[in-house]
Amino acid sequence: MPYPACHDIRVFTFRGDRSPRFSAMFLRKLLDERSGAGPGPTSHECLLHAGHTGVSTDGGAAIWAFNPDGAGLKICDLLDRLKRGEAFPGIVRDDRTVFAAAHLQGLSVQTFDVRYPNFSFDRFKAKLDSERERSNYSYGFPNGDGDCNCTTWLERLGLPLLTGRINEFVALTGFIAYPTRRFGKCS
Amino acid sequence: MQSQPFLNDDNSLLGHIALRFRSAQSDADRRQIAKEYGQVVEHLIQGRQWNEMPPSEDQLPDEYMPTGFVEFWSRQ
Repeated sequence: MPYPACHDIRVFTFRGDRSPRFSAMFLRKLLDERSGAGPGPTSHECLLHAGHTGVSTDGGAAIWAFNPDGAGLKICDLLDRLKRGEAFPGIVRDDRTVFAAAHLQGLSVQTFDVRYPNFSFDRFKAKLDSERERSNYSYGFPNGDGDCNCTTWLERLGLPLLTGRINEFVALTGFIAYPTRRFGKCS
Repeated sequence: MQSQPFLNDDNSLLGHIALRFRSAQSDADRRQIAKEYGQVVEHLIQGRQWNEMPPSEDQLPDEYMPTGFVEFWSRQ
């Protein structure tokens, strides 16, 4: 009996541009927005500064990523409330233009593939499809009241981010530094 | 400042403090944590080699951020 066909799920991620030049521009826009002197940063600029993670089931034609829904809020207020630990409804968008902009900006967009047999791939894809637009999860910064952020959202979808090698796992820098992690509001 | 034996650089320490801030139960705790954050920021500024702004998730809300942070990053 032949093995089932493999399908790849590609994870995209980049570290944000927090160089002095880009950071000063980003901060200036936040301050301008706060004082009313000018527009705040765009959502693209926020993600270019922060870094981002997304996932594709079609080789990168669409890159789905998890974001906070801050509709009606200024960017400076949204960020401030996230820094306080507040949760926001999650929305899932095709952010391929953000990853393209990161590449154009000279940031290293890294990828890896999770290879699944077709039944596991179909199960993942169904879960991803159900997440599009309005997510079932809330967005929050780490140790805040939200369920996850753009990276840990992939775990909520059941996507393994580790190979399973024990040396890889125990070498994670946050393993010792952050012995307790909170995902969701509880006391 | 509380010792953080497993964090080997000040930028990582800021992220760790921000995590603690978001789990703080009282404003007194938040003020104390913000004070620690300010000390690390001051150390980074004095070191003259702070060339990467922490991401938003490693920062505190505006009300708790040390003024030196904004001054430093605004003049870059």
